[in-house]
Amino acid sequence: MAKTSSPVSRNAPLRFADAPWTYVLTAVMQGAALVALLWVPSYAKATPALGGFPFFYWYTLLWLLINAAMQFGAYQLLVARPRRRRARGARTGVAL
Amino acid sequence: MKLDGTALTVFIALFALVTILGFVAARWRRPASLDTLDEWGLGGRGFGGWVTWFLLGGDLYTAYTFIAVPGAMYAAGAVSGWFAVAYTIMVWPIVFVLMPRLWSVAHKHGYVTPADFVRGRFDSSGLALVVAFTGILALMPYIALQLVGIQSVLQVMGLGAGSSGFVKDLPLVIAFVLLAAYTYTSGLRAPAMIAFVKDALVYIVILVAVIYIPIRLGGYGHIFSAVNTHAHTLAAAAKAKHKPPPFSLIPGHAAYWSYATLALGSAMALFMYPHSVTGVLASGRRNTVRRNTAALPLYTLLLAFIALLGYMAIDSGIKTTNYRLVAPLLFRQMFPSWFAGVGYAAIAIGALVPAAIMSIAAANLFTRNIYREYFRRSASPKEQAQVAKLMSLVVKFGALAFVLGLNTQNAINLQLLGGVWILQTFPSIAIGLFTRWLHRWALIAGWAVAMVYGTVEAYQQSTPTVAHFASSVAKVPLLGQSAYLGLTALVLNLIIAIVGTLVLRVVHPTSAGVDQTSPEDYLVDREDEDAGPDVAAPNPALAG
Repeated sequence: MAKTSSPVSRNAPLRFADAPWTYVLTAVMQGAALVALLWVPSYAKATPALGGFPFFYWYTLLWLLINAAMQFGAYQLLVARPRRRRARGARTGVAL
Repeated sequence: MKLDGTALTVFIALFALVTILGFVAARWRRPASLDTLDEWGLGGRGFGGWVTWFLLGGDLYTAYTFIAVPGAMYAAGAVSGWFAVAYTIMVWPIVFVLMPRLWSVAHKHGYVTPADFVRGRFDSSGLALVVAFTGILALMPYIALQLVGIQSVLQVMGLGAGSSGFVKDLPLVIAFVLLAAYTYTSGLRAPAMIAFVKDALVYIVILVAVIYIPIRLGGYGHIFSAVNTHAHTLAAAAKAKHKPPPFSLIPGHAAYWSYATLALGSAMALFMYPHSVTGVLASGRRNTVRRNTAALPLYTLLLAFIALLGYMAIDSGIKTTNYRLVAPLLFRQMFPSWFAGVGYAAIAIGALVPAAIMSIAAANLFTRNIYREYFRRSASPKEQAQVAKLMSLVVKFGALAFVLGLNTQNAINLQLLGGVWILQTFPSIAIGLFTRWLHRWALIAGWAVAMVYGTVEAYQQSTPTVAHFASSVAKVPLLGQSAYLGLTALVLNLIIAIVGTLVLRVVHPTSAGVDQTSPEDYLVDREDEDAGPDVAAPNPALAG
């Protein structure tokens, strides 16, 4: 890769080879809502209802919340954490 | 309908406020000059997290959302209405994966439109023309639909009632002329600024609606049970006539495929629309949009409650066959006049933001991928900006003529088709972000066949009351299930593109063209170590 020839920027994205498990984890996090919502037979039913909402409706909204949390987590894993780590590395002079 | 003076006064006051904002926006983060496409058409490419959140939210959730989604819930229930909630959840993982790559490569090479990217990636002005043409074609009815949204609100307010011809349409014409004028002068900064007002209004109105209306109706339990009764009544009536039930509270076995494919296909299509790409490229950093995917679902939650307005309308006994009036009629029945006026303003202003961004996106496409490519190779940045400004006027008045001259049902049909069409650019744009294995000529062939298939198939969909374009769900050949025909067309598109690529590699191995991008281009970010995470670029020209 061009990693050695170009200086490592604080903003350079994390590559798959750098952290394969982080990549696998974020992929699972990104895919979860897709799989859950496309699997329609698993939630196309009226009961149990919650606060007057049939299961079908509140379950969709539950995945809205789960997915938002997953998006936040994936951003932290893939972007924010590596950036913080690099910033720390730069301060203490530790090469990455 | 009777003229509602109080509501109209509130409506006009709010409308005047955003008009002033639209013109003032030209001074916001004032650049040295607005005479380049980067400034006029992308707002300086420097929007930070907050502005991007408002801009994308204002961009994607259109007036048509407020009008069509409650209308679909009111008329047919979950399969044609609630799937919109599922798809606007599923779209965020797709954005997370695709859009940072598009941002980076566009930043590196100065691309303004998705067709610019396709041209550089596949070395094909023909394929770029195909993408630009599809984008403009899909945007035109979408802009027209924003007008239909404004029209519905004006109608419920009782404006133009009793008068005929030109006088009847005058309020709509005035609203649109103002929009055209400030988009012309301020470019993308105008909708970005108005988006703040729009979203504040929408959040207030929907928050009040989802608390106040259910209290008046006896809670969500009451609303859902009324809808359930309604569904059974309709089903019994349909059964007596040996027809399938027209309304479903929960999708039945036969609708699983339709529901899932509608949701997936629409999610894949949403960020292929040029106006979505405009919103992304206007952000200042590679990961601004990615970080936003955690906050943007708040708009999806809003959409869910907007959808439920359709069910509230059923429970409150609103009867109309004009489904696009459902949400404004509910406001009229449930709210005091002055607050109904706020609600109408939210819908109408909600139409202005996307209409402005869409017309800018269409103008960018025309300028970059048609005018500069085929008419004026040497067009200077200033000339490009001028052409785009004029084109934004042409696009808007085209849409206005469309709405005034033709049946609004045509606009709705064409909007459904627009989704089918734009999805056919997915292989060139989305897959192109990761690989250029697919051959440029094979991509054109796949696109052409899928466009014809999707259009013909949609045309043939009929119900006893509607002759053509009755549905975007059709039987899939070989599968025996009904599914979203846009997705079926995309599968056909991909099969042709793959087979075509394999054939072309054998018979004409040198015809793949030269990639103008390199793998690193898809990963670059703005280099300024001093800026905090995802803060807009400290470009001195943009400060202040």
